[in-house]
Amino acid sequence: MNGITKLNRRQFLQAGIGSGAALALAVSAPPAKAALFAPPGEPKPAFAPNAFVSIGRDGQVTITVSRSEMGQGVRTSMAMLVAEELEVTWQQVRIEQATGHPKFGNQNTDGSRSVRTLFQPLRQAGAAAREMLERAAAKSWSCPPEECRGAGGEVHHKDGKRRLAYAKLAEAAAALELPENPKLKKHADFKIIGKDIKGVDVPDIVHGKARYGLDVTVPGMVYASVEHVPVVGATIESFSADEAKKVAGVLDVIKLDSAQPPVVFKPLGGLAVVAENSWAAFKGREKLEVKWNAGPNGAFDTEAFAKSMSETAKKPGHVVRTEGDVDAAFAAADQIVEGEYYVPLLAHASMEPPVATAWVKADSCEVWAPVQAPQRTRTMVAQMLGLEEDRVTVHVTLLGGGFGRKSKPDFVLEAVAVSKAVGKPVKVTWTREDDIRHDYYHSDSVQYLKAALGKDGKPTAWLHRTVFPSIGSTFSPEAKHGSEGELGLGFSNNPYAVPNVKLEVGEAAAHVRIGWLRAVCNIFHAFAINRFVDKCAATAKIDPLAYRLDLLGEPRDLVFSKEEESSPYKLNTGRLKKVLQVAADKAGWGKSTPKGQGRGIACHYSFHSYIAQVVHVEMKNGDPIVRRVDVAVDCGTVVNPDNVRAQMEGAVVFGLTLALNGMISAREGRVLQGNFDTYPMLRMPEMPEVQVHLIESDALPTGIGEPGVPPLAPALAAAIEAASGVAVDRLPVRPARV
Amino acid sequence: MTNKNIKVNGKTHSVEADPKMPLLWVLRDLLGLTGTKFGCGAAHCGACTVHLDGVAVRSCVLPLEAVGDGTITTIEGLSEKGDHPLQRAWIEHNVPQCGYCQAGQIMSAAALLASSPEPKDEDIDTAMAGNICRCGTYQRIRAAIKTAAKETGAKP
Ligand code: FES
Ligand code: FES
Repeated sequence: MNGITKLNRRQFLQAGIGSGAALALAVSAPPAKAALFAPPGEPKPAFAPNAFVSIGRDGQVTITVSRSEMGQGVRTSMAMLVAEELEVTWQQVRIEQATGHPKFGNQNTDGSRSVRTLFQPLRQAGAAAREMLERAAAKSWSCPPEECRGAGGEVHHKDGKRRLAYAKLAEAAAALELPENPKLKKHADFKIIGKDIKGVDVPDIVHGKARYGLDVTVPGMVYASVEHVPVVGATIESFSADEAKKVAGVLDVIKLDSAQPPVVFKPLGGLAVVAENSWAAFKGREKLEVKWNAGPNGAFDTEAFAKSMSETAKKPGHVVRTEGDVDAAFAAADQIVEGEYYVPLLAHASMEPPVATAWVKADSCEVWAPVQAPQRTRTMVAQMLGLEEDRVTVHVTLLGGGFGRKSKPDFVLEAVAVSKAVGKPVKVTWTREDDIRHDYYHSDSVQYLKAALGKDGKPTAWLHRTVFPSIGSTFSPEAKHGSEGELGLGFSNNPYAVPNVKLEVGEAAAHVRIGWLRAVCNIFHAFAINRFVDKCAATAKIDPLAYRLDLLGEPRDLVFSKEEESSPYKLNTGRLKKVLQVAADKAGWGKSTPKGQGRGIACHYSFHSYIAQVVHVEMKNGDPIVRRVDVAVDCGTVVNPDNVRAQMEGAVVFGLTLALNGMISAREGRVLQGNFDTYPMLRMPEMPEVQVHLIESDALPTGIGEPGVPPLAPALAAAIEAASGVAVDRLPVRPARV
Repeated sequence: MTNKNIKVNGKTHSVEADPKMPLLWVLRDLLGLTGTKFGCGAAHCGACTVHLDGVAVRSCVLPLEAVGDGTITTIEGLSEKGDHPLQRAWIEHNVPQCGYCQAGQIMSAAALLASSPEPKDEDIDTAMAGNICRCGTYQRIRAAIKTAAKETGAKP
């Protein structure tokens, strides 16, 4: 759901009027300056026609970005959209970060949709401002507005002689009516969109000046670290904080209630050690003595759970999609192919662990945190404290990675609880162990597939059962299986043309908190489907690329639900075939490789983007060394090409990390991994060469943050199989380190 | 608690702290130098990398008492004008994504270039293996190190 689309255009363009946005700066800013927060006490901008644009009397152009920056480049690309239509140069722009507020429309930064859903509204916000400036110029020149045109931060008259800077027009423009229907530029006239624009925060980052959640300091602030309940739903039976309180610098120990189902975004609970600095808080934690009641999840064991999911996958589940008669086709089949695929629980492990600073005052609250959902955070903080929402301010810092973890404000609410208890501003920092052991994990899953192959080797019947604990379980303990939304992530929208199809979902209960992780259910669905297509192709003795191209059939739009009929974003098989072909061509698909080496290919459609990847692997002592990855991506109109390349490079690393090493396991309810020694990340020596190939397109822009992830694991598995003959059907490739 | 003078980025600071407190938290919580990051607290990730007498060290496991009279350099003090060849190369290659690991990456790379001005791929692998980038910017980091190396190598 996107709030922006719920506001009509006029509401959107008026959003934030009179809200005292106070965003302009009195000082002149260097090129494309990035800031997070405007210093307090600044003069109101002369012209602020909507929540996203303001122009000061000094000409300072400020663009407010409403979505959260976690490395996906949104502060840059959103500002590009506004600047393009506002007709200012990139160097004139200053970027600020919105606090959580409904005036910005939906601020949830997830689902790879910021650019997709804001491509039109943000350009309109810029265009509306420009038209008003043009009309203000027309007024002062007493000419028709058609003779005036904004460009480079000035309005030019068509006589080529007269021009007025936006700064001079700002006040007059502010008095004018908002345009009903601001005119947008043709794609061919874009000056900023489509160019390689560097990340706006990069200069601050390389000088150590960028501010993340971890870097917040508030006068009088104390520090805290929380010994969380070891199992979700566990409670404290007894505890002693005496020794902890003796640690130099420790100020207090606070008991936090433990979250009971539905856990939603409630703080997990445990004991908060409050101290004069982070280190003292960590040391204090080591001295706590606690006896826990493990509660109903205390027997959870990931290995046993995987077995139970496998049992479930062998039996019929709830039918999600059916075409033709699979049973009859299986009965009549020449050849049957079966496969079972497993992907374990995964943790986000963003480089910056969860961290939040909260200051609960008498009748208000302020928080500073790296959150992907500032409005949700604001609402939940207000509810928790019994305050009106307008008494709560959520400042969004840069996120040191998010990947979906920071969509859940549990760690912010935790800081609020501690601040309320101590009556001071407090920063709660999670350790890496807290992060890995108390995540909202990516579901573990078992996928079962069965196909009947005809004489030509093509499937005549296709049965796929997916089993995984649903994200819905976090919100309602009754959620027994994957939701429609989760199943739409690469399962129910399987694009392969098979006459008889049956797709089923099996039940699986959750014993840990389950949540969104970059690409979500697409990860295990893409893994299983690509692996299984390879298996069918191998059985049929057909090249896996040719097999896929054939199975995708004629280029056409596919529709999987009623809502999709009117959607501008339909899965087009021709676009998926195109990325397959490009990735294959660029990677030298079909050319022979030396012994012990091999290539694998996979494709996947997600977040309305089309991605294919070819992985080239060399086996060394049974371990795969990834030499090269070719990525072909069709994400429609490309707003910032270099950023798309960066996201694909990053997705390759994310995919390799999960495929090679990603595994969270639990015994007696407790997660065994804790830090990067047991939950390893890909490192520099393992980095392959990544080649990204962008498909030129003027279709609507679609997602780039997530879609690069799903094809990597199956392409890697296929490459390993090609190089070594070993079929990888369970992830991760390498054995666990616990 | 001890009272100790430490030299950071050319300035001497007097700090009062547990001698076992890792330098990371001294820098961040006591001196307000927040450019150096916390990623693991166990020498696994490199986010906290600073220089001690020019050598890259993980400040999360370096107790204050072990700093001695050593000179500390953090990302804030890597170059006076913010124009270290690596900082410029990082901008040129648009390296950072979330950016959180990058201070540590740059400090590790700076120590590498100081000791081997024209590093080969294997040298880069070895020097940078301790620095995790969850966003996956390794390809650009490698390219940026080479760009910076070329520039410093070209100087007499
Ligand atoms: S924080 Fe020091 S190495 Fe990770
Ligand atoms: S840029 Fe995000 S962790 Fe490296």
